[in-house]
Order: sequence, then C-alpha cells, then structure tokens
Amino acid sequence: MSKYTDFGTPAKTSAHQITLEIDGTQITVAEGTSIMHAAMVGGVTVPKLCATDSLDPYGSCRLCLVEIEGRRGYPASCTTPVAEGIKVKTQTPKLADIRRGVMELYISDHPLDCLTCATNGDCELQDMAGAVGLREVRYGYDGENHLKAEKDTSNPYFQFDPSKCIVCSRCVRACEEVQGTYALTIQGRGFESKVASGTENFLESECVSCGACVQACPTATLIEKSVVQHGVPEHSVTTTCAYCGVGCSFDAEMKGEQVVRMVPSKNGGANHGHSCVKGRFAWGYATHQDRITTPMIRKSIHDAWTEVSWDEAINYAASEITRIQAKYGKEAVGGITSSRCTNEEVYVTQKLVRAVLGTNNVDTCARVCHSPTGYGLKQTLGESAGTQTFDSVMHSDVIFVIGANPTDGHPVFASQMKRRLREGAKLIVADPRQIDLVSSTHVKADYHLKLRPGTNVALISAMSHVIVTEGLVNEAFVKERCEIDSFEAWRDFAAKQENSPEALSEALGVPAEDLRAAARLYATGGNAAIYYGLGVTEHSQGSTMVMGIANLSMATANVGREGVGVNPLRGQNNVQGSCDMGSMPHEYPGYRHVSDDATHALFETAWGRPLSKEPGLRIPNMLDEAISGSFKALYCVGEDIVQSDPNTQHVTHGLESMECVIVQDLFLNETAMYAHVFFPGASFLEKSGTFTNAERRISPVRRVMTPKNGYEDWEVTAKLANALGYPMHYSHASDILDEIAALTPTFKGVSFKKLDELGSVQWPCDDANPSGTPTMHIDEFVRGKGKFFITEYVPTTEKVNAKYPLILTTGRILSQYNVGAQTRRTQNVTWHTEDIIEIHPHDAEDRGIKDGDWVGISSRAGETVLHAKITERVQPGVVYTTFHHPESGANVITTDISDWATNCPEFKVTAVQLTKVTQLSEWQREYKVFSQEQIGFVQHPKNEVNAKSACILMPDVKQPLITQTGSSRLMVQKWQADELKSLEDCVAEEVPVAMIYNGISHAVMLATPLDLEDFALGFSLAEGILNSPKELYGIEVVQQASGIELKMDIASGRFSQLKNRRRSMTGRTGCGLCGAESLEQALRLPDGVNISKDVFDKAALLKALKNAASQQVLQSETGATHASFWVNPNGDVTMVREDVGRHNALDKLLGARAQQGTEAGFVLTTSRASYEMVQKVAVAGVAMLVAISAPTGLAVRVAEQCGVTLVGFARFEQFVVYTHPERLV
Amino acid sequence: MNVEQLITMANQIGTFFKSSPDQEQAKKDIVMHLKRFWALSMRLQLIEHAQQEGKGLEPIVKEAIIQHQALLA
Repeated sequence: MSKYTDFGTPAKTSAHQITLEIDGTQITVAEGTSIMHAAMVGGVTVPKLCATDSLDPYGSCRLCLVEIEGRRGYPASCTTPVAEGIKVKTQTPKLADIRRGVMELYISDHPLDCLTCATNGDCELQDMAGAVGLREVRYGYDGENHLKAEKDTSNPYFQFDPSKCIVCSRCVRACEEVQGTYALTIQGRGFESKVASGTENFLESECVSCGACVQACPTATLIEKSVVQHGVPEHSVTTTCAYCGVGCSFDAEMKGEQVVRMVPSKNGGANHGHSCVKGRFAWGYATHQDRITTPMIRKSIHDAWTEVSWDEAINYAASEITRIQAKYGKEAVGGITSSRCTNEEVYVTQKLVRAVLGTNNVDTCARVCHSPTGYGLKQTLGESAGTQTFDSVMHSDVIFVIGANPTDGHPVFASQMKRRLREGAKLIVADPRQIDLVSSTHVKADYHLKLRPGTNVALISAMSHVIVTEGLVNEAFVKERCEIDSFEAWRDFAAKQENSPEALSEALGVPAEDLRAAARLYATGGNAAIYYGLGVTEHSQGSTMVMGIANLSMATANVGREGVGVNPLRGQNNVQGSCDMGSMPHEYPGYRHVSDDATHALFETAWGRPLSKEPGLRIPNMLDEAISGSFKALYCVGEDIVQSDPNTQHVTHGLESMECVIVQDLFLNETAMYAHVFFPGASFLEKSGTFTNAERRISPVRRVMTPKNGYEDWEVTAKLANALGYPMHYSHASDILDEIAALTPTFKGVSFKKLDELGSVQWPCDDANPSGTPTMHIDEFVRGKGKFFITEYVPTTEKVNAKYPLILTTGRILSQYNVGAQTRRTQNVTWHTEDIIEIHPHDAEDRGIKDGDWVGISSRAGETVLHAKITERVQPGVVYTTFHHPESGANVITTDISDWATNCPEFKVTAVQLTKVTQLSEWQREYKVFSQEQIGFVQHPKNEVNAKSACILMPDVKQPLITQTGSSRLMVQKWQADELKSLEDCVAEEVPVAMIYNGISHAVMLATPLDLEDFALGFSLAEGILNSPKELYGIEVVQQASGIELKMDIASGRFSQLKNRRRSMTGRTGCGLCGAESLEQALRLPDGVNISKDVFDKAALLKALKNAASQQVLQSETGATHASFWVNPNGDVTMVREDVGRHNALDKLLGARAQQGTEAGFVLTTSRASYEMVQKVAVAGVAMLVAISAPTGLAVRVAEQCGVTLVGFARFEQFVVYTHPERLV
Repeated sequence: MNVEQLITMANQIGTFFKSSPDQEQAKKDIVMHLKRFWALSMRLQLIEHAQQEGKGLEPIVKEAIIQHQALLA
C-alpha cells in the first residue's frame, strides 16, 4: 500500500531557515513551518486528529499539544510556528494525561464497533486511541450522545455516518480549501455541532462528489461504499486517470484484482492529491457487464455477429485489408486513433498505417477538438502544446478563461484556479454562457464577456486593438523575441478602426468599455495567463483564434515564465499525447512533417519500409472518399466517430459505404454498430503505457488487473501488423516507449524507468532537460522568433435566419465524459440521465415551451428532440446542450462546417429552431430500432439483458424514473399475426411517493408522478387525516433520488391525532405499499431470486389467452374481480384464483401453487402488471408473467433485472414482450 | 470526393491568407497550406477544377493554384 507521510500541516517555503529542538533533536526548517510539521521532518510524530497536511491548521482537537520551554501552557503544535532556538517537548506525563482525557471524551460518543467497522485498521481515531494509551472510558452511553444519528447514503459512491463523526472539520475544510465548493459546514454549537450539507442530504446539496471530504475524514464517518462492500485494500498501484486532460495520478487500492477504491496520489504532479467525481469514483465501467471480451466478425452490418478466436478475428481483418488494398489501391484504407488511447497504442497504430499499410491515412479524434491548437501554436510559437504547468496558475495575477468551463471539464485544475482566485487574482471570462466560474462561492469574474457564439476572433481583434493603440505592447519583449516584420504587420492590422471595440461591439454583443477594460487588465494586471478550451477551437476560425491568443501573449510578454502563457485545456486524457505520437496524417511523432527529408529517412530506416511523403486523409476526408467510393476500409481504435463527429448522417453514410470497418473498443459503441470486425479493448486498469496531459506531463498507466479481453490494446495492433506481414514484436509497452524516445527528440529522455523515478515528466525531456521542461519558451521560442499572424474576423457561414433563428452551442458537464461510453456505465448517471437543451426564458416563452417539455431542435443538418431546461445561464438567442448520450443525437444537428486550417468542426455554432413536440424525432426513432437490432446481433448471452436496458432511459431500478409526462419510452417486441416486430412503446411510470405530514413520513404509495398535489390532498381527506382542505396549510413536492416526497404542513390538531394512530390501510385494493413509511423502504427488490429456466411456446400463451376467461366464475357473475391463472407449458390453465384485488388474486395463486407443488408453467393475470406483481412472481421463481394489460416502466426494469419474461397487452391473437424474449420460442 | 466541399475548404484557406499585405506571399501560403495538409488526391482534383474555369473558387485561390500547380501536383 502507498503510505504517504502526513506532516500535519502544509510545507512552507522561505529563504529564512529556523533551527529548533524537538525532544532533544535539532531540526532546521523554513520559517513559518508549524512545530507539528517540523517534528515530522525530524522523525517525531505528534498525535493529531484535526490536522492533515493538505489543509491549513485548525487547532481544534487538542491532541497535538506540546510543551515549549519557557512558555506557559500547552500550545497546539499545528497552529504554533517554529521559532529560533525554542525547545519543544512532545511527550511528557502532563501531555499524556491531557491527550488521554481528550481521547476519552471522543470515544465516549463514538460507537465501539471497531471490529466490524469498515475502516478497522485504517482509522486515525483508532490509531490515536492507541497512541495516547487510552485504556478505559469512564463515561457511559447513558447520557446524550450521537450514536443513533441517521446515516446518509444518498450519494451513490460514499456514505456519511454522523454517529462516527468527531466534528474535526476536516471534511468541511477540504470542501473549502481543496475543492473550493463550500458545500459543507459545521452546524450548531457545542454538543449540537454537526457536519451539515445545508440540505436534507449530500445528494441534494452543492456537493460535487470530488471525494476530498472522504479523503480527509480520519474516521469511518465519510467512507467509500466500495470500501464498506469490499473491505480495506491490501495493496496499491499508482496509475493515471483515463478521464480528462488534467491527467490526475491515482493509487488504485486493490484486493487481489478487485479495485477497492481509487485514491488521488498525493505526489501526483497534476493533481497533488485531489480528484473529481469521475476519476475518483466512476471506474466501475471497467467491469461493467456491457464489456465485450470476445472478438467478433460478420460479413455485413445487417448480420448477427459471430464470436471467434483472436487468431481468427485478426486473420480475417488482415485478409480483408489485403483484399481491399489489392482491389482498390493502398490509399483505400486508413486508421483512426483516440485520445483515450495510451501514447504507445497511438504510436503503434500510426506505425501500422504508415509502415504496414503504406499510407498516411491516419487521424485522431483531436481532429474534432484541439487540432487548431496544434496548428496555431506551431505556427506562432513553434510547438503544438501548452506553455505552462498547472501549478503556474498559482503565480498568475490575471486569469483569462476563453471558451472553457474548467469546473465541469477540468475540475481538479479548476479547484487550483479557484484557490488562486480566492487569493486575489483577477478573472476575465469570455463565454456565451454563464459558466460556474463567473459567479460561485468566493469567486466572481471581474469581467464576463458574454460574446455571441462564433465571434471569438472579433474579440481577440478588439482586445489587440486596445493593446496596440493604447501603448500596452511590451516593445522590448517583442523586439528581442519576435519576428519584427510579422509584428508590424499585425500591429498595423490591429490598429485599424474596424478592429476597435466600438466597431466590433455590436457583432460581439459585448459593450466596448468592457472590451477595453478587459484588454487593459490583461496587458497591465501583472502575470496574465490565458486558459482556453473547445469554445476557441471548435469554430470555422478556430485556428485563427489560437493564433490570435498567441499574438496577444507575445505582444504583452505574457509567455515564457511562470504565471503566464497560453494554456489549452485538453478535453480528453491523452489529446496532447495522441497528437505528440504522430496520429495526424501530415506528421510523424514529434510534429515533424511527413515530407521532411531527414524525418522521412529516419523513420524509413527505423521501420524498414518505404514511407509516403504525402499527407494522408483526415477523418472527414476519409468519410467523403468513402461516400465517393474510393475509401473502403478503416481500423478505428478506441474512437467513436458516429457519436462524437459532426453530422451523424454523413458519418454513418461514410461507414456504410466501406467494405471493412474494424473497431477496437471496450463496448459495442455507436461506430461498432457499423463494423465488420470487433476487437475487444482493454480498460486503463488492464494495461501499461503512458498518457500525456494538457501540461505536456507524461504519466505512467500501470496495469492493475488482467485484461478481460486477454490482451492490452497495443498487443492487438501488433498482432494485426504481424498478420499483415510486418513483424511487430514488443514484449511490453516500455519497449514501444523506448522506440518513441529513440525517434523523437522531445521524448529522448523518457522511459518507464524515468517515470518510476520521477513519477511523471513534462516534455521536452532530453539531454538538456533530463527532468523535463515545466515552462516552455523561456529564453526563446521553439521556432526561434515568435511569429505574429494577422487574424481577420470572418463571420461563420452558419447564419441564423427566420427558419433557424437560434444558435446552438454545445459543451460538457461534470459528471459525464465525452461520448459517455464510460460514465454512462457508472452511477454518474445519478446526476445526468439525459442530455437536455438549455433555453433562455424569453426564447422559451416565445415558443410556448415550459421547463421539462419535449423540444424538437431542427438545423440545416437534421433534427432531434430533447427535454427543455429554461435557464438564464444562456443568453437570448442561444441554446445549449451536451452530447453524452447517443440517443440524444446532438450531432445529428451539427453541420459539416469546419475550421479553415484543420477541418475541426464548428460544433459551437449551429443555427437551429426549437419547437414544442410530443414525440422523438424520426432519426431518434430509427436510431432506437437500429441500435436495438445491433445490440441484439451480439450473441453473447450476457448482452441480451443489455439490449433492452439500453433502450430504457434509466436502467437502475433503485432510481425511479421521474418524468414530466409520467411515462417513458422503450423498445419492445410485438407478436401479431405470426410476425415479430421491434417497435417503440410508451409505458406509464410508477414512483414511490411519500406522504409527509409536518416532517413525519406517514406512508409511501406507488403513484404516477403527475398531479401529486391533488393526490396528497385527496389521500389525506380519504384517510381521514384531514377533514377539510383548509387544514392543509401548504404542500411542497420534493424530488429525491429514491422517489418523491409530498411535504405537507397541516393543522396542529390534525397532526396530533395522526401521531396517535398508526397507519391502518390494510385490505386495500389499491397499490399502496403497506407498511412502508419512507422512500428507502419502498422498493424492496427481490434479492437472490432463482428464476426457473423454463422456456415457453408462443402457441401455449395464445391457447391460454383463448381459454382463461371461461374459468373466471366470480367475474362472470359479478364483473368485479381480477384473476390470476397458472398455465402449464402446454397452454392449459391448471389453477385460477379470483379477488377484487389483483395483488390478492396473485398472492392466492402463488400460495396455492406453493401448497400444491411447483408444476412448470407461468402466470397469466387479468390486470396490468405493476412492479409489485413482477416482484411477487420473481420471488416465487416463476419465469414469465403475462398481463392482459400494460406493465409499468418500473415493472419492466425490475423484470429485466430479475430475469423474468414480462409480457403485456396479451389479448386476442397478439402480445407484446417487454423483457427477456429469449424465453418465448 | 465532392468537389464542392474542396472548393469551400480551399476558399476558407484563401480567406485567411489573403489578409496578408503581400498578395504574392498570400498565394504562396495558400499553396503551401494545401501542399502540407491536403492529400494528393484532393489536390489533384482541385487543380483539375481550377484548370476548368475554377467555378466557385475565390480569385486568389484560383490564381494561387494555377500559378503554383507544379508544386501542388
């Protein structure tokens, strides 16, 4: 296990050193260091509870007291700084007595369940009890204590058990100091003081689930649920997160091959022990049941997949590539890599394409995100990379964020940035939307330039104008460091009146005075750093804007030292690395052009094959060429171009036009649905390699478990190369990195050995910089002299008009990642179940759109439908969405318009119209059918479950689906007239609804989430809880993770009566959940059910339907009863029970069956199918429930999970199968 | 490949470089950009289009292609 020394308080730096004596040992430390920290430096451990070195000292626990010779009292060593010559004692009889007394008080209000506690052996409270020699606790539990405080398990990843809390405030301070969210506080005083989230529970609070509080907690109060489940880990492996471009270092804490938890590494160069909800918690996708681990092939995308051996799959792929190149020429094939791949995987893939296939048709997903960064920074500064470290921000005086949303996209770096802002740095935000940084707790932007989408270059021109015309250029820097000719041309351009803020203000939608003020602040405010994201690059002038940013930094000398610079915030974990590795069609690793003679010769010699000197096709070019008939085969590694690239219809048309698409991935992603060969991929936990983050930091990815697919991804690519006749025999990813280092000057000094030694290293890493290069361009630019470019603003051709009057712009959210393939398969769906469209209240009102309405979004490219969210975060005329869910079809509406230099798509500007609709778009309906069919083509049994659940918006049955319409949609199979059809169906939802009176939960009912206020009043009157509507003073409908609470304030007299009675609703015929008083009790899911393996003939079902009615004796007489039938495999009804209650009828039938023996068969019921009915048959082990009427959405999900075949609308000669159709033959 | 798409892309490149005060340099920059970033098949198709009246191409782009076609081919 990685065990980091906790020095108790943060390290201090000072030129002045202090020497003191602690327990007789002379210790020298920096001035300002605490005595506690100094003691640890000298090897002396002082007991502590409220102190930890990631937080400022607090001095509350009174355990770390010391004696200082000549001073009175017992100062806390955490808050007392060292002083020259003082003599400190950490262990004396008096100190021991005080500490035991303190610990005795703590333990007197702490459960003594250490042996069964999840942190047994990993608990600081336990350690301190031992350290102070606590042997008895004189205070019993008779008095007031917190031992029965209720546990909060609302967060999907961690729990809060206040009974174990010692109110040390570490969690509160971690939330403030480390994360900067301020979601927690200490509420109350004295004995009443407790940690509170300001809302009912953690899930409802401002908490962003970064895990900092969990990490800081010294007890089991805040603890990962995975630790509760698996126990304390026994070993750890340091690796690198596979999410965003921050590239956090994590210790994967393991039990054998089971990940118990991911803990951010204290030594992580990018994250310094901090994390976000994705990296820390959302790793469960690696073992998700959707993983495909066996290779598959098929002739046509309309065929079912055939599982084959690795050799068969590799040989088939190789033979297809060979056939296609022989028939259509070597340029008819290509490859695509992903920023989700390691450096080594990208390297071997581009090597395969260039050296083995003999073409430069290789591209990467940076094409659709940061390709303009690579181009723009190479042209101006000479290197396709950011200039700084993340830590550099702590030296910034002015932070200028353009087109980025760090708190959502790069949360760990955002926390560092917010820390600097709290220290006083100024903030300029240029974004059409109000991102969280604009205004959040203790952070407020000095200027929010709310520019119109597509006008970035006008912004940079206006700011350049101010800097040039107001004498703010750093002439000395420019003269020494830059090409003067280019500067003068740029200066003359910028000075033109047409580039003044006043001239451009209208186009930008930003007041000229704000533009001037922001420019002045950037140029004169001290160290000024620019951070930008895809809001800069994903435009038709993306490259122009990147060059404009570089111009600005050079003109003001804000480049080449700490605290300044040009900082592209890379979206994915290895955007920088994948570009570094030569994944673009025009350049080899290290950004060297394919036509460069020396580079060409170097690689021809190293790889032993003739190489092309012509640039290859980019991704959109490949698709265009495929449609025109000349591009026929694609090897796509780890990328999902169908979901992430613009104009989905164009992408799928291109793929459909190819003869062989090979996809290598963890899951059957959207692109794989158009593939002919599927190579299962390995997760980041299953392989070795390196990722390079946004600050050029190369960090190790270390294998912590055996690849479920059998091979690391680079091994699969090497196998394909071998099958194509090119020997590629690496024994480990380190061999590949060694080859990269040998061929790439900027990587010359990089090796696994060095990464083991240093933890990580920022390139360039060479003989001159053996430990890497944190800050670039210090004395001169990589290209020599910096070059200015004229950046004329050219409005996009994507214009709004009467038909498409709104601009759609897209972005990301915290809990989801890119196409969502990973995060959608984790509990992160708790926070984001679907992509929604944000619209300003004015635009919504104009269109009659209300919050939660289905809204059709149409553009020149296509149409999709999303739920609306009305918010002032977007400005009038602008709408916003994300693209994390494939069924959203966000890229169905984005267009082919792209950056002039790199073809990076203009995702940020799409002219659209929004209209209120009632059903999914045609594309979405077709997509559902197509994806259902494709998932069904995967013949692995475990994937059959997923085929259906993928079509349900929220597959977790413990998270009720609360929709505005009270219904949800899913794919079903309808049997009619001897024909089976897949079609979309709409089912009603049932949701646990708790009736809460004056804060006391009285009963929980399952109800459709509509008209709930009426429900509350009606129920209260009907049950006699209220006599009159006037006795209901107020009602609040509160949505919780596990259902809905109807919080009623009623007359005190009625409430007193209610308290004196228990619920007495026995014998009801409705759908009440008898006995359940809280939402948590509501959904009692069957555990460990043993469903029979029976299969049934459709004819038997139809036969039973035909004959059952005649056996309803009571119904025929009264017309008032339900019935449940037992039907044997021949279709004969062998038992029937009737009752006015459908649940009662079912209970009677199952009781009779239990009494009389378990004959094979299934249940037929005359009612609809509720979740409880499915639960009842599942508990009885019955394989199939057939209902005359419809099931609810919850019933479908429970049946899906339990393995029950659920049939609805079974009447006459037809029925609809909702789950597990494989049982009906 | 759809030549209309090539024309659009080439014109976008031309729009960026034509803001240079030196128009001859701008033409060279346009051609060098095409040479360095476009696949040969795309360049050849564009040359062919430019030679056949070059309909839809911005004048500076068309001139650049015709003037420097030996470099592009």
